[in-house]
Amino acid sequence: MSDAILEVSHFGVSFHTYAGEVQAVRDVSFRVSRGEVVAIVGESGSGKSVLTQSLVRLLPDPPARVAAGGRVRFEGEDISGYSFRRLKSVKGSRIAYVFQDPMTSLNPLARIGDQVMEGVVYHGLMGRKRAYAYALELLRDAGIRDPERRMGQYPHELSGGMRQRVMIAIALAMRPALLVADEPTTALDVTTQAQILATLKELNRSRGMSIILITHDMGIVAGIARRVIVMYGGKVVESGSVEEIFERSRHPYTRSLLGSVPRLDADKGRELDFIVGSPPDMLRPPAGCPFSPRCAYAMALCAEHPPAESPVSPTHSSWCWLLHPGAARILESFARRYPDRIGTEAV
Amino acid sequence: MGSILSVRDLSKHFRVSKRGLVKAVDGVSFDIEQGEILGLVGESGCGKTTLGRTIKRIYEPDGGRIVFEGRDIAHAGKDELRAYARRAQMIFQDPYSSLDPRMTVAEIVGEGMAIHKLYGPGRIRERTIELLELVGLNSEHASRFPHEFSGGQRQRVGIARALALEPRFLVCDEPISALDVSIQAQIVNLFKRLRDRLELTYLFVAHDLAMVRYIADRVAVMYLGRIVEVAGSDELYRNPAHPYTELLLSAIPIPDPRVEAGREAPGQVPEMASPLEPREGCSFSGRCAYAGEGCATRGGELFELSPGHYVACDAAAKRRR
Repeated sequence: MSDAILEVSHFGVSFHTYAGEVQAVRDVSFRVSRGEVVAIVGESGSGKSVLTQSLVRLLPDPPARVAAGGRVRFEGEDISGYSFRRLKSVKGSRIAYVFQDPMTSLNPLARIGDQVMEGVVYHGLMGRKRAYAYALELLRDAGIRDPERRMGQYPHELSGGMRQRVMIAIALAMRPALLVADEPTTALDVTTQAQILATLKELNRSRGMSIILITHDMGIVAGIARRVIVMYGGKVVESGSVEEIFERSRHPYTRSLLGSVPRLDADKGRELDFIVGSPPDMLRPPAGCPFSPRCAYAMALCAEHPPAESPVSPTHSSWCWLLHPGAARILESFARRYPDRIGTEAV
Repeated sequence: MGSILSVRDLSKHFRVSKRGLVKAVDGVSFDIEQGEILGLVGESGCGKTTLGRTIKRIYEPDGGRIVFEGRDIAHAGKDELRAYARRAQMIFQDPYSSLDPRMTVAEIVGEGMAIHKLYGPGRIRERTIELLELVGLNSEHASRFPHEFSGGQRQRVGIARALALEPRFLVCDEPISALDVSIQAQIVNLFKRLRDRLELTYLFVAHDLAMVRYIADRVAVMYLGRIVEVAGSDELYRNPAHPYTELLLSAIPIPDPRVEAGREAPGQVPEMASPLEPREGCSFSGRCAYAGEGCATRGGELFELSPGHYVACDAAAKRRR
């Protein structure tokens, strides 16, 4: 389709370490449309950050090696074969990143203004005078109300939320088509988080900028994303529209993840669901479905053979053997007998 | 049931420079009933961790009383503190840095029992296995080192260590915030089960309000060193009275796209005032949308709005009446 800004197919990344090869991302395919907000959800070690950072090779090789055979198309161009130097024209200008920790992403020795202006001045797009005015505008767009004062300050004079806003302003400088926000609010307080998310939403609306938001918080996903990609053990296990994922999920992992977070607006009578065991060892990931060792529905087949993509709707896919035509009957009878079975077993 | 812990007018100040004094805990009073879980929430820098640590007497308080099982331990001597250490234990946030990497799990869990000379070596070994089983681990784990465990399992080791001295009261300082989402529910359910089984009492410090609502019987909201609201957890979430509590609740994302679509993000709120600035009156008045003339000079005292629901806001009281 032509409205895709990013198309990733069969993408894999592994780390070569002394202990062996860590397969952090395995055979991942997804697409992001122009102007869309896509959330990539997963726990630590699910591969969500490695995936997005490896698209433009932000991680050094060695140790992070992109597997052969994967394809990354950005704005219609295949960038997977690009040299490191050629990628430079893409990253920073067409794809921008905002990371979790605004404390370490800024240069402590440079004034905020210089750091915001650096991109456009470096690329020779503006002289310092115009860049100064432009930087004020960017800071304002990122939700900073007194940009004139902030321009002359150093990072240590700013609060965490303010620093993250500066990072967003820097990311916006080259008018990127895609913003990758990697856990942008995890280090912040909830009130600040709400404001940063509102700013991102507004930027998506006003600039038509696509956003990939990486998070582990299902609440954030519900508030901002239009589409959701759920990752587990280096693989995509389910993807769909936000309603499909939250209301009609067809993957046991997604469902138990949703069941394990308490809701502020719900009655607290019910016991929280939880998932037994812990995330897989990526040095020796299960041969089949990565979630199979913790899955309440797992069959013998699941541990040995990776499930193929099962389309649920044109926008919704799940990678689960239970959706195989041969397994459907088992699931229904099982679900009728044990409606609350997923994840409620004793530790 | 009576209260196991009564905190009265407790203060803990830190001198950060010649003139700078941070009143991390500034005249805090509350009670915890025997067998109760009191949640303590607030943003970073509000003093919730300092309050927990002062109650555990890791820090020496600068004023006020901490009455535990009828004894004031705020200014207790060494021997009394040693006895208190057995009765009150602490669970830390980071299960990676709170376990000695060079000790085996059995040594970590058994150390307290040996120091307090509770049992002989044989009985300590038996008891260690019992404790491991109590928290969902087993005897195989006893000879392993912390690095062999996942975050959730390490936190279980930390809990077993805390329970080794048969405490009545646990200060849990953000015990789940370093854990993965799918693990948090396991540990929270474990905390609940242990409370019921061992009749424990918790002060549960956390910033995840949804999780606190789930686990706590009552919740105290802290802001700049003071408690601004205390209520039963359902009451607090249904009828927040303090503007700060309202703000916090409105900022928490709810994992439901339909609910989120109908919510408005809280408007821009001024940032938390510096804890270094001297203040009178209500410490939230600078950020408060409802602040009136008097708020900056007076107020900030807790009073009972409805039975069991305390709030430190004059305006909230007037609005309610």
